[in-house]
Amino acid sequence: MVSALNRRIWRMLREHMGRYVGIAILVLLGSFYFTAATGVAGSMERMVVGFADRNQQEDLTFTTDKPLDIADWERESSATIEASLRHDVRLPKGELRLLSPGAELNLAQVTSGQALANPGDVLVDPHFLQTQGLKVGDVLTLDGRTFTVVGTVAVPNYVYPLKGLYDVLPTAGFGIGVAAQADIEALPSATEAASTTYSVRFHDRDRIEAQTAALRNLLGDDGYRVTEWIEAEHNQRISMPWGNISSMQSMSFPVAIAFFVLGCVIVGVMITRTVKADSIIAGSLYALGYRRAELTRHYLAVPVLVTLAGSLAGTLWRCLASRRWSAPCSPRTTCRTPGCFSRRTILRSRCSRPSC
Amino acid sequence: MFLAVSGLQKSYGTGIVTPVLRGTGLELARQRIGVILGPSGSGKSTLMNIIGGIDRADGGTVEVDGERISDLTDDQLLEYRRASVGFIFQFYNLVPNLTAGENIEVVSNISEKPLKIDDVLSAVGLADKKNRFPLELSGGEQQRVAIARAIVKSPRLLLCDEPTGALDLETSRGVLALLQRVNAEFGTTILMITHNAAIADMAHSVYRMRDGQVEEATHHDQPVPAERIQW
Repeated sequence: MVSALNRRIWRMLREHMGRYVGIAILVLLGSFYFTAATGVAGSMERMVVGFADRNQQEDLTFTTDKPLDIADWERESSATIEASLRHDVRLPKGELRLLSPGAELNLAQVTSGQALANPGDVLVDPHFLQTQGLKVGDVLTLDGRTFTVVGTVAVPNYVYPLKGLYDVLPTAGFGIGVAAQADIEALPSATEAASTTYSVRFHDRDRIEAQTAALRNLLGDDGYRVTEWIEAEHNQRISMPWGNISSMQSMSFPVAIAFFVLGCVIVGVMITRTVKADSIIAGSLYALGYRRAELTRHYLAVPVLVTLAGSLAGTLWRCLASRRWSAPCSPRTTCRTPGCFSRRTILRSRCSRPSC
Repeated sequence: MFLAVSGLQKSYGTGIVTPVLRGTGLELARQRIGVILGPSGSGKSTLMNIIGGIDRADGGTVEVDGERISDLTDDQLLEYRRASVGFIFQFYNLVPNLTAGENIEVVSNISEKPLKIDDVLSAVGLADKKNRFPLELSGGEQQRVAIARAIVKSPRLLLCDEPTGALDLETSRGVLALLQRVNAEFGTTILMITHNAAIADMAHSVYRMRDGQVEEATHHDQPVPAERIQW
């Protein structure tokens, strides 16, 4: 490209600054949305998978009318089976579901503060901590017994903390807590109200559906009455983030395509108008010896620069924004929408800071 | 002969074919000024476009300085236009957001041995208007810039399409005088299209066209200086 025409490009940009800035902003938004949505969905997917794998998320959970001989059933079903205690404690402004910490499955991830160390220690989910106006180190009275909140926690089978299995949204004031089994059993109301559930994770990670069906049949054949049975796939507490991820992935594509098409149309109109308005000059330059390729480069320079600037700015914005979003152990815990909560919980579960 | 056109034929259209040139021929000697006169639709512009290498004839030959341009490939035609031909248009066709100097530079940039921009601007009497944009110049000044733009690459052939068509009498005289000076000083052969028969007096050769053919060609050894042309 020759220098005199290059100078013209910058002058054209200056002369129609508003028009080109508008187009660049449109491209910027499209680029930002595309990179952000696909990037966030992708990293969330990696995080959810990583969290589930690292913390041995269950494949299913069930309760029975009589206790299981866990060792026998583990051999029988080629799975890790773990019993856990669950007990709901009412509070003046909400309700806390206390879970016993998993030793092999559904390993609790401490996201701030310290792990359980002493009797009377409790870990709670970050949102519950905030809504109850608590902070790490505070004392919490549960069923007349005092507990010390030693930190916050994320639990793989309560990624989305629904109270009931068939709830759609989290119950206001409801939260998750993890406390030693002995502490839960020692609660006055726990003797009759606490329930034991079994969590299962199969060793063979490829045929989970078939193994699940086989286990259920075996339990029935052995005379167990299954009172509650929920597979991870149907457990909203586990699968809700997947729904968010897949909807984000499926929405990001058409919306980004729409932005892209809109951007193409506008840039196309811009090129058409420019070439039409400049056709006589382009013809003159051609007659004076300019090659078609040189003229094409000249007339494409402005749209290319505008779209390049918009897309680079959009991508850069997304990079800066994603840094902010994925900052681990950030104190911002105001959002309680399903997507936001699960993202925050999952993000925090990745924190590599020693204190987490 | 510097320019020799023979049996040139050109038609437009696919379904209904409209013949524009019907065996047109003309000859113009080196360093001479030729004027093509004729009414609208007589084929003047088509003839000029073919001589200038921006259009192709359906038949016939065009030779410029011994080179048969009617046989050239597209790339060769481009090189021919780039190196040998300057164009001047009725409405100047300057790039509006480039200054007078930059408009000349646009062509200078693609020329192998361009003249100096300042020299060319001085030659057309616009040395002091180098940094003016076209809208800051009068019509006559803009046409002078267009002439400067055309001659900066030292073309062997200068093709002018109604160069005074948008100018008043006095300004036209000035532009025509400038073309005569370019012809005399740079030795450029000039072929000009016009409706204005009075302009024919300043040419060495005059071709009258009608219905795609040159009906009459006249030659003068002593053309009238542009300043003395009356119309």
